[in-house]
Amino acid sequence: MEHHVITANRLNDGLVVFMGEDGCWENSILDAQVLETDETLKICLASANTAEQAQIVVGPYEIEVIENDKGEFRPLRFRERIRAYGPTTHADFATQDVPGHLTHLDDVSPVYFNGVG
Amino acid sequence: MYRYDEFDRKFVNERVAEFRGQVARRMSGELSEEEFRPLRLMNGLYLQLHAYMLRVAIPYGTFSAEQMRKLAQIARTYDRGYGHFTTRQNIQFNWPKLEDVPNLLAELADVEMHAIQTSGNCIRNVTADPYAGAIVDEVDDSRIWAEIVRQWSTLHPEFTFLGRKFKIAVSASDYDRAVVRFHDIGLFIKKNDAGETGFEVWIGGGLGRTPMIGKISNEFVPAEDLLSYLEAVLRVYNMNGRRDNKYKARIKILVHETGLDELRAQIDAEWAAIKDSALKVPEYEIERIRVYFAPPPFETLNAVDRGFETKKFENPEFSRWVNGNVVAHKQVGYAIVNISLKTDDLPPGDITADQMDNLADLAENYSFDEIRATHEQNLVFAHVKQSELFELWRELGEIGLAMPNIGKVTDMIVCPGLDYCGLANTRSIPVAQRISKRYADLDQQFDLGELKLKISGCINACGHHHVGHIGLLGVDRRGEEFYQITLGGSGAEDAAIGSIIGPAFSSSDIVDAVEELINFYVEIRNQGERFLDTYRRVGAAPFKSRLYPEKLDAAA
Amino acid sequence: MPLLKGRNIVEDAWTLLADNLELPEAGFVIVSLDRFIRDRDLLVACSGPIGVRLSSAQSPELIADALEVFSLIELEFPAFTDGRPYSYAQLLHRLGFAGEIRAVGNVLRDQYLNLKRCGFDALEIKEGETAEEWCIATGAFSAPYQVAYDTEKPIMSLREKRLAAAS
Ligand code: HEM
Ligand code: SF4
Repeated sequence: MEHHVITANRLNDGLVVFMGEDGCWENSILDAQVLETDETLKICLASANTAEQAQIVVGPYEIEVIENDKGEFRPLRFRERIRAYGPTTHADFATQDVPGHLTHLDDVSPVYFNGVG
Repeated sequence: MYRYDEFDRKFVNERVAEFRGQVARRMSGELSEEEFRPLRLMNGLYLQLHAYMLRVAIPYGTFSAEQMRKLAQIARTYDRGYGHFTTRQNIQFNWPKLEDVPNLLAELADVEMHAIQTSGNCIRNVTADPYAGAIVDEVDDSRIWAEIVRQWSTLHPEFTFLGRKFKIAVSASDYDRAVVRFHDIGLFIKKNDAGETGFEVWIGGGLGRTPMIGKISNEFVPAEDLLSYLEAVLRVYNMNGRRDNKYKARIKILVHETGLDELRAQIDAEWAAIKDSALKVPEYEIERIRVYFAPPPFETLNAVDRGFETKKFENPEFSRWVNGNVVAHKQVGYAIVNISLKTDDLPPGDITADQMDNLADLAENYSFDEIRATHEQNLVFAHVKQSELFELWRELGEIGLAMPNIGKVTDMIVCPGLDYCGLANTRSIPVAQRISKRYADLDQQFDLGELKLKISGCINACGHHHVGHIGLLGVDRRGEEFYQITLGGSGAEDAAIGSIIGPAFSSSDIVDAVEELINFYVEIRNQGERFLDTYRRVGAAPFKSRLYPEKLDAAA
Repeated sequence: MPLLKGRNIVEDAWTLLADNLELPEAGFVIVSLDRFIRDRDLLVACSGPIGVRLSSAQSPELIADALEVFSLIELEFPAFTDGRPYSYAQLLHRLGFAGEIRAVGNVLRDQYLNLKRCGFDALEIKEGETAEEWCIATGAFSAPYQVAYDTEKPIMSLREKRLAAAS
């Protein structure tokens, strides 16, 4: 199976969060629990739904992630990368220092896809 | 400008209290997200890709220095130091916390502002010509009527759960500076032969997935019957508009599927039944509101200001700004000044809190304490003395807001796109920033003349791409950002919907493709011809073959 | 289900009659539009009061020629976001319907004010809900901006009154 992490927005501040090892909700995808089997995915989604019922998060869902050569997991889909790392329009809004995330601010060529991973 | 009386003030405060209760019920779990969503949207609160976003109304685009300072403070306290002006005379703040929003709204209410009906399937913030009260060609001040519509539509009990959003715009000129023809209802104020005021009513305009130009449903609705006519249109729409498919739920689809004549008959029948009722707009109320929009105390000035003419002569940069951004005023010796929010550093429509504070000071000093927001995501000082233009320009320059690019290729309308929006296919702002860099040379921009480029990150068309002379629409091609080009649209009095020119371009190629189209225009244009005019003269085919030469070869 | 009328929960004398059940002579039953169309003559002849329930896709225009048959019309909200019945209620008033108009189905208590203003007389609420909770919404605003089908004076006429008092 592919690797997944579970994400949502926190109800109170609306920020993007990821489900961590202990079921807590973390701001950084680097702290997310990476799920490797259908079984764990199912269990964690169920507990994410419980968190939604308990007014902790809104709209939890799973995203696919891939491992880079540093052993970090990155979202596979482009949309999820922007969700995980912040808008690409203001250097100070990026939530993490990810190579390629802000390339167009310096210049032109959108090498976003090649830069991360 | 309009000021709240005790009734307006009380109403807005009560609305804040109501929303505070709704937020508390959401936080306690009494309201589910599904139930809360329409309630928060009706108060302008979205949950976007990264966080909440609050859209604050600037009814018909007019606001004061005090209000601008409050927006600056809100940008600092609840956003990250920015505000973002939209295409519908609203301002958006990203990143507010849900629990803070009631306080934020209370602060807005202190300066007579609110977020009522800036989203949701209800009658949205009513927009108007940003030059109202200042432009020569208007037959009346459109804001008076926009305010009357605003009050009538505010928390209208019958029309708060419509099939879809419902947008109304008002203009009093033949020139369309408010994309009136692309609104669910567009109102053009007219005078009849007897000199009476009335409205030419356009219905069924809209952008989004199925762009449509509105159609005239009534050529002259007498002023006193405005509200009964609007109520008739809304009622017919509310009862008969489609509810089975949200992409077909706008009134434009009802007009299309029912046919204009049949729908007009239904509206007229409804109107006849309710016209002679308490919906008549009383003269005292029109006059009460009109007083607020009385012209400011203009001085009697000469038509030509020597100092101004000299400065223009001496200073080519100032002269260029005047040519690009300044428009004639109806009062002799005054001018309308456009302030471009398409600068080098920030996303289109964005402004920093410091700039807001500075602009508030400038508005007090130079424009009778009044600011306007335009649908092109810019600002306007409506009443500036010619003799003070130079000083104003200099001061705007100091805060980075003297960009002379109004109506030029870098004055783009751009939606938030995937950088903020959960519905997006692609980013929009970075493409705009790359185009801006490509066309940084102002001489070149002036040489190209009026060129309206508009970018949307998905088919919802918040960036108005359908009505761009050049429109870019973000599409997802196997997870990569691609952009489809449309040509020949216009949101002005020569309204048109652009046509797709061919297959989409990758993000890396899109700026080159735009440049290629513009180069081609420069090669074939006649003297004084705008991009749009050239396109209309020669048609799509030559542009197409220039952009896709290999296709031509393959076909040959 | 509890029935909210004005500020109080009241006894509900009516029952919804399934299409396959026989019409009781005493009336006080609510039938579907289909049933009414099929058994119109029977229903008209019934000595007891009759009600009809319209779904949000069924406009009161469909029964415009039979309004005097009904003492009660229920307008159904399949979802609280489906706002068609608000317009239907006002249409019924305009067509001269003098009986009771009820909201049934899915409504939020935040909408009670809208319902009242559009001329609904009563609505079904959920088991366990209180009248007080629902009435918060009707007290949320001291005066509305526009005329509707209640007797509430809109802000415009309050202004006129103030103006008259001042002069
Ligand atoms: C940021 C979050 C936003 C979301 C989720 C959003 C969502 C949408 C959706 C779903 C539509 C299509 C509606 C329909 O066709 O029925 C739409 C249309 C539109 N939006 Fe947005 N929008 C957003 C931001 C903006 C912004 C920032 C602007 C102004 C720059 C804007 C201006 C418009 C306009 C002008 C339309 C076209 C209206 C028409 O169809 O007539 N929106 N938006
Ligand atoms: S056009 Fe699409 S991407 Fe852009 S703001 Fe609107 S919904 Fe979002």
